[in-house]
Amino acid sequence: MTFTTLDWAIVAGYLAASMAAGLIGKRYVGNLSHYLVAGRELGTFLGIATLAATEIGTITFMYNAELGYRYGFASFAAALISGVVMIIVGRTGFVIRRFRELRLMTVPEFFEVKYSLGLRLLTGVLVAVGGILNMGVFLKIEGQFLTIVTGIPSRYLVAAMTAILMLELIYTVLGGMVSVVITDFLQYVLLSIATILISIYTVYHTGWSALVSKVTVTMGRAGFDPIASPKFGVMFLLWQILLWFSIHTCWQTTAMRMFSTRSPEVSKRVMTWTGFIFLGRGMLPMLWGIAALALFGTGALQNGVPQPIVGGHAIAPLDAMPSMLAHILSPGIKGIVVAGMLAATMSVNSSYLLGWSAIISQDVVMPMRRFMGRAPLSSRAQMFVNRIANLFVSLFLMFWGLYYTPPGAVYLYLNITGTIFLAGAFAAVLGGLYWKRASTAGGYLAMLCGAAGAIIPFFFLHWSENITGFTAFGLAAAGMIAGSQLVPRKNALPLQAFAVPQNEPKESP
Amino acid sequence: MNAWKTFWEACLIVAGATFAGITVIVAVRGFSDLREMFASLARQKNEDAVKNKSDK
Repeated sequence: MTFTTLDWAIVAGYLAASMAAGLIGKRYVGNLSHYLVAGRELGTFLGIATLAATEIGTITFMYNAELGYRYGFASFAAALISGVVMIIVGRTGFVIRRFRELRLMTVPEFFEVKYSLGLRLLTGVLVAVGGILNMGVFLKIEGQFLTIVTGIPSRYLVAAMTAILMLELIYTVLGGMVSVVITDFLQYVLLSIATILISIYTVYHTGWSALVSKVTVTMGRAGFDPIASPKFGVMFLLWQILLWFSIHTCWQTTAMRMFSTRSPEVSKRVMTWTGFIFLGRGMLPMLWGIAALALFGTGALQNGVPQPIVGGHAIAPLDAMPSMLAHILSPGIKGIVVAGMLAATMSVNSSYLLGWSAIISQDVVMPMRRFMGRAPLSSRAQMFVNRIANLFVSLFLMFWGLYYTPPGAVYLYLNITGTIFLAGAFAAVLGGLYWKRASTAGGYLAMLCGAAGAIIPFFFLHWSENITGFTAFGLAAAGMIAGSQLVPRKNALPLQAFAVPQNEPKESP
Repeated sequence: MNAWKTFWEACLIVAGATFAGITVIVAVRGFSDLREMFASLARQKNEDAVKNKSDK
């Protein structure tokens, strides 16, 4: 065991505080708007905390560290793109400003406002399937991290991760977005402290020059130049730009934070400042991965990179960073770091549980009821459906997440599963917001072509992630244009008709 | 290669510094946002309760 009593006490203290904070949220939930978008009362700083905490999890640290281990400093390009694109979206208000003006609660809701109820249902199904599959790998990888750093025997992994998921589920189901926001704030502070501590420890322990020389010796120019890197190149960079524009605008958990802000101006500020956090969210863990390469990268070459060797055994590059932390962190610090990583895990998982269950209840169950001619549900009944959906997503995650292992680099797997719906959703959202001739037929074709463009090349033709991603976005755009030209839109109200002015009335249940 | 190395060093310094700086600011000012959110949600909940009562 590498974990001391002090470390366990810190972790237990954090879990108790987080649970207590989460349960406070239930007091403030009166209607569906409170439950899903915190009554649209997020200010700038709370918005930054909850958005950052939602998109920084142990999974984020793991896959970014893996990228750093495999591709050296060249991997920083992916982090740079994610941060800069976010700052651009925030500064310009691209998509997010108009979304906020429409007072949406989910992204697929826009598809009914602009296109049709049927397209909202199709988008809801694709977003739910892609999103839940995407989240499906989180638990196992987060569990791997905790097992390695704390030294818990791996046979307890399933029990430990199930217990953590249950804790998240309790406060998310009871308090919805309000509980998620409160815990996100606490978790953001803790995970940031852990991130900074690890970064300082890593550079202090390994030495900057050792990091640079290991990458130079192992990878040469490709370890620094993303265009020269065999895995990256211009195609990868262009795909990443498209992907990050779509994630920052159409990814349900990110968009829900934008919908929850007090005003469109606040949503722009939140996005801009979180963009700077995103630079560190990527680059700092990538640096930890490079440090793990410098410390443990002594094995046989595999795809041009030495396998990590720990205690005489070869391990996967994904496990190199947590193994390094288990070696270099001192007692007490290790407890803070594990509490920080648990905070990161819980903030992401609770937000994702809420995000995907919101899609299932609002964009799949409710539209299906309307198709069947049933009366609309009350706000209280909708919250109940949402809570049931939350339970369903959790059960799926427990069974799928703990046993499925993604092939190849996790970052790229997550990118591709996200692209299944993001390519089409991004094309349809852009068309809907900025192109007068966008039609419902174009929306359908964009969603279907985008999904087919991600699934067929990657899973059946075994194309690379870069080419697959590019194909999916290209096909989705072509589908949007072709569908809209072939079957034009008739008698559409302009979107401004649905926008609610600044001094908007509060939503009634 | 040296140009890339210098560029990534500069990016890392900016990323680390802004990450730490924003964390401090958000930790301090997020509290007042949280208090305002609680007050506003409590007000909305009370208004809803009064409205529901009068509807009945």
